[in-house]
Amino acid sequence: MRLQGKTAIITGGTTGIGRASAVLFAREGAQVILTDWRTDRSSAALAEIAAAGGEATFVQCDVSLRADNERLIATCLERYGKVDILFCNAGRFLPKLITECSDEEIDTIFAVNVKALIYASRAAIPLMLAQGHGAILFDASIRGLGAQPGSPIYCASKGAAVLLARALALDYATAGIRVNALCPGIVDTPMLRWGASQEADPAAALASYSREQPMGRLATPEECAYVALWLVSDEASFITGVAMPVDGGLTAR
Amino acid sequence: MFRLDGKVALVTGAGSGIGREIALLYATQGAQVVVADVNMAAAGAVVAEISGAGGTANAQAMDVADEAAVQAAITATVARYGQLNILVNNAGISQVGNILETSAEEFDRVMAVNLKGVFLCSKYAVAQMVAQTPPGGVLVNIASVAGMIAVDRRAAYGTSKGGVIALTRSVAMDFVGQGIRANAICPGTVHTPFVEGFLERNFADSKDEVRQQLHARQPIGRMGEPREIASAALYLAAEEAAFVTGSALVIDGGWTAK
Repeated sequence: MRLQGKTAIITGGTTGIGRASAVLFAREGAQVILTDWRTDRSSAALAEIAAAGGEATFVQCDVSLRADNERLIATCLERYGKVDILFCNAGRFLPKLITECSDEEIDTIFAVNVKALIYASRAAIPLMLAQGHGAILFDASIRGLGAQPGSPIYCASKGAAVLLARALALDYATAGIRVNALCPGIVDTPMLRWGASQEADPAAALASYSREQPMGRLATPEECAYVALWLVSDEASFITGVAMPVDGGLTAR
Repeated sequence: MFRLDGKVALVTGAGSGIGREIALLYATQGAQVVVADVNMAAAGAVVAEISGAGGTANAQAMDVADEAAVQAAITATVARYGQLNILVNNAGISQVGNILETSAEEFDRVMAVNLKGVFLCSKYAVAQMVAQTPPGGVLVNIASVAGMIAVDRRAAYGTSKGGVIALTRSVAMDFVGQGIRANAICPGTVHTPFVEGFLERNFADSKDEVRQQLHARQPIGRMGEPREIASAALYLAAEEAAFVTGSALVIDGGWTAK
């Protein structure tokens, strides 16, 4: 029970990596608050956690809104008295060339993938400073380390997430707060499948994603959740300011 | 979670410091551990500690720079335990000096242990692992942040560790289709006998002052502890890390976040 007695906030915790992480963190003893901007997708994750004997509640939160992030942190404080772990996992993909992106699409990607991390961290850090400890994890992407064709705004937003993690790590290293970035490779999630559906031949696209991975397969959300668990746990006490790839070797070549 | 039941692990330089911590942790998580070291007394003490706690381990004399010794050690491991599932390349020596201060002999010595030693151990371990049924295994290579960034007056040491990172990625990619995973850990400064020995040899008259500088160099304000590296070695060796290969995991209290 690596997270016994800890509270954990996971944005985008109803699907994909967020859901797998919420289930895993709850199984490991954390009291979990999971969020979604939608209100109609939380029951499956909550049921899975309850069936495993864990504790979790759902809070509706549109991470692109500053006030929603502040309300989320305040809710965790009110309900559990502390914020031990903040996992900013919610994210959005945009498979469009720069000339195809509207102003609104650009703003949305930066709001969800970057500003949300800033607003949530800004609200949580004062609490963590008062506590003398805290672990923050951003679900960035290997595209925050190296680019891929066809999604420049997404790549830029993920690069920002990685550097934000490293910068915050430096600012709070002596205050007991660790900040890291998770960099998944190509993971079998609803977001990936949505991305494939935007291609001319979705089935071929999905197959090509697997081929792109040296292991010849996609990662599972659970494989990403295990790294996330380990990075937020006390066993990673000397790890801060890192961007850790979970990518089956994709960035090794 | 993060268990190593049924696994056989060989840890080089396991007689002290990070290697010892890894060997102890692996044993508590169910692995049978080969405690390899040039110092058999130290290795024996670690084996006694593991056995005393109910684990299984044996001491193996091994100079990683000696190809015949490496081959013999792998052979002996398989003869004893039937398989080899995890290799932790941890054995390494320190070195202080810029390029003008480093003799050719010293350069060769550092490379022989820190880089060629990793090459030799990996070579014989991978050969065994791909021939097993089922084929596969895990390599965990202890590199250093000095292999990623320049650290003052560590010309040969940094070069050897940079080579370890590259070799790790090469092994990871060449054998990704044969069930092999290989990852490097890049510690920052970890408070171990290795560091105390370095202080003794190079700063005997100002140990306390230099030790404090080492603590302060990390943004987190202190050196790391061996168990903080060992926990990463456990995670990377476990099945839960199945999608992690070819990576260099930095554990440095924020040193390279800049």
